[in-house]
Amino acid sequence: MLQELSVVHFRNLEDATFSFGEGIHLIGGANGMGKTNLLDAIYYLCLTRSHFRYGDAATVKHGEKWLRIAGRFSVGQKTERIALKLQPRKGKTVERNGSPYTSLADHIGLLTAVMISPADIELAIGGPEERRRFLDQTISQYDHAYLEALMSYNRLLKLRNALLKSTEHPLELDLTLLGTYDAQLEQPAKYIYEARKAFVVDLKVDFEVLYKAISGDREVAGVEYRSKMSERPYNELMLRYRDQDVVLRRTNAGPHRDELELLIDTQNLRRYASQGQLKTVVLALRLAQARVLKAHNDKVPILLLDDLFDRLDPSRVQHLISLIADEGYAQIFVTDTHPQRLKSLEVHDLKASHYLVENGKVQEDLDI
Amino acid sequence: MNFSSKHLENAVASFSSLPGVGRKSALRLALHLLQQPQEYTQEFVETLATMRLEVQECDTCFNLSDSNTCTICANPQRKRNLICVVENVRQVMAIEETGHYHGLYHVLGGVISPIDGIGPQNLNLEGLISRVEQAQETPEIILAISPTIEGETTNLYISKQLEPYKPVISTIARGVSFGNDLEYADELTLSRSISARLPYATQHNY
Repeated sequence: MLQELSVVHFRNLEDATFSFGEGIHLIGGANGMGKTNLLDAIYYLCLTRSHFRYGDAATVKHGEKWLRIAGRFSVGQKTERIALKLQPRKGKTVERNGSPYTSLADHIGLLTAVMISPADIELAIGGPEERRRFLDQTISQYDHAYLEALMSYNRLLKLRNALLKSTEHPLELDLTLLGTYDAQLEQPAKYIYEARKAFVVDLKVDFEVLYKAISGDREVAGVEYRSKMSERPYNELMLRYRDQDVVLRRTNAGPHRDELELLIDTQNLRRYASQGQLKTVVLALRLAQARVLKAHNDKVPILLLDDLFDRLDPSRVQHLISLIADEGYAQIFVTDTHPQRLKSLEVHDLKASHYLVENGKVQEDLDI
Repeated sequence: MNFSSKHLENAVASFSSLPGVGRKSALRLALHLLQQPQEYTQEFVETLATMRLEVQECDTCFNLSDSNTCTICANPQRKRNLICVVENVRQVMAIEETGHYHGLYHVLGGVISPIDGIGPQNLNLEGLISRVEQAQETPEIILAISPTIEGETTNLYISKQLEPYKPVISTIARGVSFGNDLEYADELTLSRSISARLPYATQHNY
């Protein structure tokens, strides 16, 4: 649980310290005031990177050179003080209780957070790479060997593709050398495939239940892991696609081409779903992600819901809030532009506190 | 920098074209040479020119040599049926420094990396294959190449190319460095050291 957060020069947040308790934190304010940035600061501190895909440099407040986000968390019985600094030349450093990590990857897994923002709609409508990113980011939060396998797979793949592009004519290609890349790719490829397969088995159960609960039983959603590696062993797969690889001068099979297919009533989502259905899929996917992380890490994630009412009708929002209240999240942060709508979320037995963000400044809002 | 002499400026530019030498160090070196007796600088320059002219690659192992055959290949004391394959000349020197290796070498001149435009044809690989092919007794091959992805690719490629001659091929051991505390070894190294562990007795056979 996040007890105290201080932010200096993060996006449009100037310099502020806040204390948070248990329950639901309802954050109001007009567009562009910094509500999302407050949520992203929490996410950044937990996972050492922004939820959004702008580079690190863009996270520093315009006109400033460095940023600092620090937080005091209670993890079980212990207090953890985490400080993240981004400085010119020195880059990004993260300190845990005053001592810096040698590798940022070591911090991943200590604190878990799940953020759901309107930009996440890309998960449903974007290309397969969006969903592969979702798989990778989730699995590497509980499996360090997965992250290593992924890094060596990507490096080898880059070399293999460079080899395929290196000759003028396909006949000049050194097939022995191509074979050495295939041999080296096999182990990480298998690891990635098995880890993804196992993760999707867990995810599927939670996803389907959660989708049903949010949509109010209106339709059935599904999720399927599709990989050519399920058809035949990796070395056979590579031999089968070799001719195609040589002609097209890139690698056409392997985990980098996997897909996590999302379905509603057995139809592919990207073609048939409404905006509300898409958003519901994203919510169910993220909450299922939170459940899987909880099961693996034995830690309750902090839930960050940015612009919650985006694309959802009031009944789905109510379903969602009662669902979240039952899931046992210790801390939830919700943003919306509309004070009345935020107030409507108070009804459940979560302790509610209100905040107002104005021009990068955050204050507790006692008027509501 | 403002130079009162065009010749000095040229010398500084030449020095700073060397790896690891900046403008200021280049100036210091040039001024130093300028302050020495003329004969010193003359000799210095001649040494460099002679080195460039005389040093060549050994026809057999591609190590640096003053003649067609390097001193290691020409040494009758060396075991001729043991070839250590290395990336470059500096590694030959490092291994020679240990004083524990008494076989021959083969210098590849790099590792396979298609991203940098280095393919097998850019390395001294054919020389190695013909050495193995023409040997009376098939030599043992030790692959002493850096354990990177590119190095690993090169190892695999060489072993594939040598397969028809069925030589005994080994790689140098990878793992926890000698004299270091185990807890300071990184996770990858440590996990590999455990999976590629050695029978205890063999460790004393050096």
